[in-house]
Amino acid sequence: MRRHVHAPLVLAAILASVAVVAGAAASYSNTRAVAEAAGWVAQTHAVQTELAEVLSLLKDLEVGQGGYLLTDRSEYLEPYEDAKAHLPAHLDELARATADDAAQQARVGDLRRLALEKVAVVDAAILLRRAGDASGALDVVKEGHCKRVMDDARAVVAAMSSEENRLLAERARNAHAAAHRTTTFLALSSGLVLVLIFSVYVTARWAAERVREAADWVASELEQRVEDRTRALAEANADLESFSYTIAHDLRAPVRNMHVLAEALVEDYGGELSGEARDYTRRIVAAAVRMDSLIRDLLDYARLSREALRSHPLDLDEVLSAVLTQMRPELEERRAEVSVARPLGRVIGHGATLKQVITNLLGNAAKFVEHGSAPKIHVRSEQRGGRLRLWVEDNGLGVAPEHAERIFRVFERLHAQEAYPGTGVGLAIVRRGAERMGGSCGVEPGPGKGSQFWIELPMKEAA
Amino acid sequence: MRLEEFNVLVVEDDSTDALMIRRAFKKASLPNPLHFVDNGDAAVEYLSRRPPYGDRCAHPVPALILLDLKLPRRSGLEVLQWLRGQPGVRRIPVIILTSSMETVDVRRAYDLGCNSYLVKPIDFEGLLEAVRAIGAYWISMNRTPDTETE
Repeated sequence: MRRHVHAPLVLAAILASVAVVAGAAASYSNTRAVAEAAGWVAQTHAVQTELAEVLSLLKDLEVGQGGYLLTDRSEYLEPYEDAKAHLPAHLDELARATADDAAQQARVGDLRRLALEKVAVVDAAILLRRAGDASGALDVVKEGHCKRVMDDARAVVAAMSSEENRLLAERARNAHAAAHRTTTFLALSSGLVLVLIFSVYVTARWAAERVREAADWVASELEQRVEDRTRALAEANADLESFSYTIAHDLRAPVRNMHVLAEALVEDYGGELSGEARDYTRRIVAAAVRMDSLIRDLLDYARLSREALRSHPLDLDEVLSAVLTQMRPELEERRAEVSVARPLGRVIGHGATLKQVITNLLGNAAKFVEHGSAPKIHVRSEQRGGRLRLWVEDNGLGVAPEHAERIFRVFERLHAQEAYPGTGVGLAIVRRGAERMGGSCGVEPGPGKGSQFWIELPMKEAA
Repeated sequence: MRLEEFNVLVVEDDSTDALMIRRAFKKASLPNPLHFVDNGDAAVEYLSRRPPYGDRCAHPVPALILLDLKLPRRSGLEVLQWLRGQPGVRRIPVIILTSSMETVDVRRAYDLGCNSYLVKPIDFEGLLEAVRAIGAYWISMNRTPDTETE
C-alpha cells in the first residue's frame, strides 16, 4: 500500500511545485508587462509633448519673423532666436523617444529637414529685412515656401502623433492580451494546485482508511492470537497439572514399596541377615526416603512455578508461630533453640508459600550444623524501604560467598548426602516462592560462623 | 461380633501395599479375615456376590472396606458411588486408603459418602499405626450396621 500511495503523492507534489513556480513566473512576467506598458504610455506622452513643442517652435520662427518684418525692431526676433536655438535639442529628443520605431525615425528625419528648410527661409527673409529690403523680405513670405514647409511639418507631426497613438493602442492591446493570458494561466495553475490539493486529501483519506482497516485487522488478529495462546497455555497448564498428579501417585508408589519391603526384610528376617546385608537394606530404605522427598520437593517447586499466587496481607508473627508449632518434633529432635524478635511485622504474601519458605529456612538452619552441636536460630525482621526483610540467622556450617548464589538453584548441594541428607531443592523453593510473591531472598555470612538467610517481601500491595 | 467374624475387604491394586496391609494386621495382632481384590470391577463383583465371588463362605460380606482410589477398570470413587446406591451393602463403613492427598479427591470421597479418609503413610510404621487405630476404633469400638435389605 505504501507503494500505491507514495508515487501519486510524489507526482502531486512535483506538479504542485511546478504549478506554483509557473504561477510565480507568470505573475512576474505580468508585472513586467504592466511596467512596460507604463513605460510606453510615458514614451508616447513624451513624443506627443515633443511634437507639440517642435510645432510650437516652428510657429515661433514665423512669429519672430513676422514681428520683425512688421516693426523692424530686433526685440521681436526673440521668439525666432529662441526657437532656432532650441529646435535641435527637441528634435534630438524626438529622435531618441522614437528610436524603437523605424518609420517614426524616418519622419523625425523629415521633420528635421523641414525645420532646417523653415529656418533657412526665415533666415533669408530676416536677412533681407535687415539689409533694408522690406519688400524683398515680404516677397519671400508671400512666395509661400514658408507656409508650405509649415504645412508639411504639421502633416508630419500629425502623422507622427497618430502613429504614436496607434502604436500605443497596439502595445496596449498586446499588453492586455498578455495580461489576460497571464491571468488565465494563473487561474489554471491555481486551479491545478487546488485539484492537486484535493486529490492529495482524497488519497490521504483513502490511505488513512486503509491504515485503519489494517490496524483493525491486526488488532483482531492479535486478539485471536492472544486467545489461542491463552487457551494453549491453559491446556498446557492443565496437562502439567495432571502430569504432576500422575507423578505424585505413580512415581511415589514404587518408592514406597521399596521402603517398606526393605524395612520388612530387616524387621522380619533381620536375625538371618549379616551385618552387611542389614546395611544394604538400610541403604535401600535411605534411598527410598530420599527419592520420596525429592519427588515431593520437585512437585512443590513445579507447583510454585505454575500456579498464580494471590497475595494477601499476612502477619509474620502468626505465620512463624504456625510453622514453629508444625516443626516442633523435628526441632526438638535436633535440640534446636529458636529465638524470635517480635513483633516481626506484616507483609504482603501468599500464606502457604510463605509457610513453606520459612519451614525450609528453619529446617536448613536446624540441619546444617556441626554434628553433635545444638543449632541456635534467631529470627528477626528489618524494614527496608517499602519492604520487610525477614532474617533467619544460625550458628551452623555457614555458606562461602562463592556459593551464595549457587545454593538457590535446583539440585545444588554443598554437602554429601551421607553427611547431611537433603534434596537440593529446598532453597530453590525458597527462591521461587519469594519471587512469585514479588520479593527476593539471599544469604550473608554470619558474624562468627553460621549464615544469615533472608527473604524480603513487599509491605504494601502493588498498585 | 468376634474379630474372627469381622471380615475386611481390601480393595488395593498394588501387591506390595496389599502385602504390607496384611503384615500390619498381623503385627497389630488383628485376626480379622482379610479379603483382597485388585481392581474396581472385582470389588463391585465381590459386593454383588457375582461370580467368581458367589460362594458366601469363601467370600463373605465384609463389615469394613478399605478402599484405594487409584484402581484399574473402575476407580475407587466409582466403586464407592456404586456401593452407596446398593440397598443393604451401602451401609458398610468405607475407609479410603490412598496415596492421594489432593483436595479434590478428599472432597469427592466424602461427598460420595466415605466414612474416613486415610493417606497411605510413607513407611510401615505409619501404616502399622493406622491399622492399629482402625482396629481400635472401626473394628473394636464402632457399631457396624447390618446389611439387610428388608
